[in-house]
Amino acid sequence: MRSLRAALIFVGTAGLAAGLFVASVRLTSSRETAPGPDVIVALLVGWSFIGTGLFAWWRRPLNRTGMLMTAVGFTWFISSLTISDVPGVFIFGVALNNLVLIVLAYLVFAFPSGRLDSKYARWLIWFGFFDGVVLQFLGLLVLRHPTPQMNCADCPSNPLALTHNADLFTVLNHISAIGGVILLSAMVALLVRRRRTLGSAARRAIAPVMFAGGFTLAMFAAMIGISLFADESIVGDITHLGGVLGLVLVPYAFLFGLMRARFGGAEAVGELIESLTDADRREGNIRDALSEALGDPSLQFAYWLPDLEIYVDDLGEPVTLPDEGAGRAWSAVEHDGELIAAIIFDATVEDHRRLVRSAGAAAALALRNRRLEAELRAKVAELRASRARIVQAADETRRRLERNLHDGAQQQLISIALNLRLAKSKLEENPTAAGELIDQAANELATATDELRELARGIHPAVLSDHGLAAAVEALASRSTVPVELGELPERRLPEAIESAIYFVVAEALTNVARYAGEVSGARVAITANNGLAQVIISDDGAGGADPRNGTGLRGLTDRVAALDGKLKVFSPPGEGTRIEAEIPCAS
Amino acid sequence: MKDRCTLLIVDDHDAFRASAARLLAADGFTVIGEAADGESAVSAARSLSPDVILLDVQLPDIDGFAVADRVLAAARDNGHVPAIVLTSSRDASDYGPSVARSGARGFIGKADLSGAALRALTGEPAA
Repeated sequence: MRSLRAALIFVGTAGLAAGLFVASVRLTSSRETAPGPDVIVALLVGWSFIGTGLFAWWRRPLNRTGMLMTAVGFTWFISSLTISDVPGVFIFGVALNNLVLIVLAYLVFAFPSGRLDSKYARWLIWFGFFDGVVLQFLGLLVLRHPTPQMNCADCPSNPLALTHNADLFTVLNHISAIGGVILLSAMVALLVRRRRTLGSAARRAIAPVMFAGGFTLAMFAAMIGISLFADESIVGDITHLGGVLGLVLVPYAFLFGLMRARFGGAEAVGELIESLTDADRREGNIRDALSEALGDPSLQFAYWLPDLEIYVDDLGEPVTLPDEGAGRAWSAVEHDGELIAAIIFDATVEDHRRLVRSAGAAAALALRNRRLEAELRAKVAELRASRARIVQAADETRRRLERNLHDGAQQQLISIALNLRLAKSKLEENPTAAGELIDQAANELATATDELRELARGIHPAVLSDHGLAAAVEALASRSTVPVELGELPERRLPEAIESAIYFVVAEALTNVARYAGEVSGARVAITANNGLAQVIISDDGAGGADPRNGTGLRGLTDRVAALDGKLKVFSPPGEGTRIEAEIPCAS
Repeated sequence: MKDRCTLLIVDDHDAFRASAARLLAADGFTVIGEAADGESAVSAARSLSPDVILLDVQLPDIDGFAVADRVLAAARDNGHVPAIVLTSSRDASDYGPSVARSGARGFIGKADLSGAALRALTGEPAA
């Protein structure tokens, strides 16, 4: 901040000095016919731009509007140097005479963000630079004596000239002038089109600058156009005067727009508070009231749901807050220190961030009530999604079962049938071979029985129904391929659905430990059922990094626990093991 | 006419291929080849020219119906058309009209497989 302050003081001092230099040039010029008024106009325009620009620059250092306004002031002073009697100073002013219009056009198109968002505007600025500066400079290379082609009878000679070819200069000058008229007219047309796309709040702040800037550009377009047909004309003088007057107005139009936006903002918040009361009474739409008050039709609410840790819109659909610089901005709404919502708004009304914040504070209470509705919708949507996932998971389980039965026990039983049929055919001629085939069939039958038992346990373990959760979890632990330490287990029976959900949480967690935990020394399981809440915790010291959003196993368990009004949480920082906690309300 | 009928067994389950080969060999067939998937079945049928192909419907790459189509199309070009019998651990009705529309001679459930059942469909004489 201190370096910005120093830089602004430096720029301000330079602006002061530039103004004094221009004043001295004008006062000492042999071609100056009205030194007093001309000096006043020159200083009024230049210092107004520089002063207003520095103020804007100080207020919003990251916004280039202030810098651009200051630049208009300096380039204006440069264009005033065309009155000088000193050849070098004179030709410097002539060469960069049109720069002020290009920087002004840049300012008006980039207002209020300070950035050129439209590609057409960018093209126009580049063409303007080529037409107004490059062509001008080329012309100066071929005109040693400016008279009379520059309407300048007493002008000093041109030290830049390499040769003297008045005809070539005239051609270049005409091309530049025609290009200038077309460009400035196109700029004015683009400004008119841009105005139509603005919201009312943005228009309130931007319109004065656009109007004054557009008027200035139009006047200069007319002046250049007239100069093509007549060297000296009263209409040409009037348009020049109009252009200068417009230029004088731009910095004041900027200040006026700023004040109007602030005043309008305060007024808008007042209106909002009133309209919110109405809106609440009529059960109307708060968004519309706020959107109207702020003049931003694209305004959107995103309600913060702490349980789900997401933002949702009015319909309960998840919303992602925009990144800075994406053309949208957002402001948080809090009530008693609690985050309620975010207001997402058009970044072109970025200057209204404070206003949006005030409006948000005014609307916080009403928004908190609206959030309940959004939360309900979000939960219904989540419920619908989880219901779909549960049906899908059940279908998937059935398909897996069919596949397992088909590839496992069924193939073994078929093989047994074929072997028994073969044994029967050999019974009389080769009883030994028949006996071997029957032995083989018996072995395959035992394997098939084991597979069927394993499959049945996967569907629903008999030990769980018969002996309860503690016995079923002990059985899981004993079959696990990693050592499992059992903590507290419930002594009493819990409701069947809860026992079943907890059992499958433990089974899936232990399967995951064996599969994914990497180098793990063991896992720990503890289940409690106190104060109407059943809780299970499974932890391991493996690789961590599990994400419940990846894979269907944990996602399915989350749904299963949620179906019982419970919650499943997974803590799995990479390298620090995994801890799965599930809590399910249960009547004690 | 050959003494014994030659047979190609196509199935992705090793245990079934082994059991079926033993059973059908004991019942008078000469098992000249086995294949575990559809593509190898098509190339084995072309290179071995078996009299009968016992073809599982559910194979890991292409299904038995597609294998039957390709084998029969190739066989019509070289003049030796094998008798194809489809098999599956599922019931024939699980496949709807596909079995009837295929160019196969018939369908035998895997558990019902025997030399006699195969001959009944292919018309091969008993060895």
